[in-house]
Amino acid sequence: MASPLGKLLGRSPIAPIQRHMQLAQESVQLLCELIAAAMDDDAERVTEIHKLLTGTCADARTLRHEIRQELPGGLLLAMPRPDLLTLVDLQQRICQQTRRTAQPLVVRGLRLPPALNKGTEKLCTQVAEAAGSTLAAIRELDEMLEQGFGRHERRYVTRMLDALGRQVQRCNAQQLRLAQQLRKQEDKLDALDGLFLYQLMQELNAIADQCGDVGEQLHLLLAQ
Amino acid sequence: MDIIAAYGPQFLGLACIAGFFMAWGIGANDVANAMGTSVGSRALTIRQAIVIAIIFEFLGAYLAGGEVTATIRKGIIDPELLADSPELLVYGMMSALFAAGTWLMIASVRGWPVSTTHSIVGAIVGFAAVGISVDSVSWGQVGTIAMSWVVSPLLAGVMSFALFVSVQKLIFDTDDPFAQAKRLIPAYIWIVGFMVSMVTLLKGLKHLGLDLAFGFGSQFGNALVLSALIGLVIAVIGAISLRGIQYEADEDNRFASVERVFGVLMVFTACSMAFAHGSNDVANAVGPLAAVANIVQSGGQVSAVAAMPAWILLTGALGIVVGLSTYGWKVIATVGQKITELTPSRGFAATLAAASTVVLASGTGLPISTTHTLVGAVLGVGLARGIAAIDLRVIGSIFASWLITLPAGAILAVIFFYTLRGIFG
Repeated sequence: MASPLGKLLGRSPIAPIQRHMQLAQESVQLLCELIAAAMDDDAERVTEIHKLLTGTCADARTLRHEIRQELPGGLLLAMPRPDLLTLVDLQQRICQQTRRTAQPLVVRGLRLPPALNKGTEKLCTQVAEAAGSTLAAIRELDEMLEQGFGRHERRYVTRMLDALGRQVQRCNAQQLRLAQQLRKQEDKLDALDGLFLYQLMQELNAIADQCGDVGEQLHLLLAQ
Repeated sequence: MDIIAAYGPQFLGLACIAGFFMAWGIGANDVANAMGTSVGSRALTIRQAIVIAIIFEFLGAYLAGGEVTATIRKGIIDPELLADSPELLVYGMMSALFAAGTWLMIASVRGWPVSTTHSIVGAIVGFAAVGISVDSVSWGQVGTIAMSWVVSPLLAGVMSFALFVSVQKLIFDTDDPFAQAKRLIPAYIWIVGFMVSMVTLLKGLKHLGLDLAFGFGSQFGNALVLSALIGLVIAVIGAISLRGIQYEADEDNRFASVERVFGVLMVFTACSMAFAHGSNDVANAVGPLAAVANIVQSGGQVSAVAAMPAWILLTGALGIVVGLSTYGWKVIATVGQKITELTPSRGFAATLAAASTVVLASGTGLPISTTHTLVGAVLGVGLARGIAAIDLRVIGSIFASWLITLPAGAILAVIFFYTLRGIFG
């Protein structure tokens, strides 16, 4: 005999959402490796990593579809559905942003002037850190549910999100410094290369901003 | 009268078999819902669940099942109207058993969720209203029972909501949830013990002829003090078993240790749930049997007031246990597998609320659906934002099952009734 209890508990969307953020964070890590390979001028490795990157982003897209499908209308959710879906969309933008950043390096074979290597590496590390912090914060979603969205957990996660905010600001600052360094190198560069290099730094920094957006959305979920 | 004299023993034998068979069905199917929350939340293994169910279903049926059985036996139909033709009541009750049993078999094969309580009540109302006369049914009582079917999930939901919010505020939303859990869980264990003892002592032990006079004034006063003491004993046992639990840091889930403490609480709650279920559902099997036995053994007298023989409750309790051990464990495993989203802290709130509601209904003599009560309780926890996702469409399926089960039981009972009347006259 079938039991209504068996069908009563729907599948929790939290684990897939956390897995989705993990994929987004992995794509950022891969991007940093790709940039490092570009600095070494290793075209083969760049293509290799790019394949992994697009694969990860495709997996993320599939997972987002699944999450949407598993959240039908007849569900009573602990967190509001539109906010959850927006969260996944924002996470997905991180993936899209990493792909966009990687493109000129792969398609155009864009290479950085050696003088910018250190600064770019630093920016990469900071962006990766921001992505890692975002993942850690998203991983608190199941703890939030377990603890019942109480004050303690909220304070804990808010502290994490404040730290994320500061990391995003540091990325912005570093991107500015890098752009200023690039300005000084301009006359040594091909005009088009120069343009793409500016864009590369902006796109790389934009990843950090996307992480910040995810953090903001999480903060919104907390405030319910 | 003559029919009773002629076929009395046969009727009784048949009714016993039918009653045992119904009880077997209850043990095989229904108990899974009562124990499912404990197994699904991983607080109990299937083996532990079976052992607890066997012991406490039996105790609940035997110690606290009297009131509901009385309702099924003589509360739904007005026996006075059948004083002239008692054999109709015998046919009717047997038909009710056969009808409910058949409907359960059909539902099992088709995989439909069906309530044993609704089946038997529908069957009894059916044969009485159609086979005898519309006036033979105590519609007032039927109305009360129907209302209890709506009220019990709601009440359980309110209780589970309150329980879960209390757990969140007192244990989870604190600086050291683990320490708070170890400190406060014994108090919750006390609640479990107190609640079950209270209702059982107040209502359930009449047929055992126990007179509890401790000199605290009223029966209520006596029961209150004794229940508080029983609760204390159980709470102390619980506190001792909590001592062994150490805090273990778990990266994936920072509250894993807290949940293990709740796991101990779930064991006591599971016992109370099995007890409650036994107390309410044994009546579905032995209520009709008691009616038949009463008439046969009194030689055709349809007396409204009669003592409840212990052997009848024993038959029902035994049937439940046998059903549980032969088939029920498989169903528990299936239900448990599907409820894995339930952690012990959630499971506890839902199960205790449901058990309290069911035991209260048993004490009041109202036959309710344990499964639907549990659904209401789980919904209460969901409303308190304790569960990630709850499928509200299940509520629709519950209403649908009400709409189908009552007429189905009634129609089947009418068919069996006329068949028996045709055979025996």
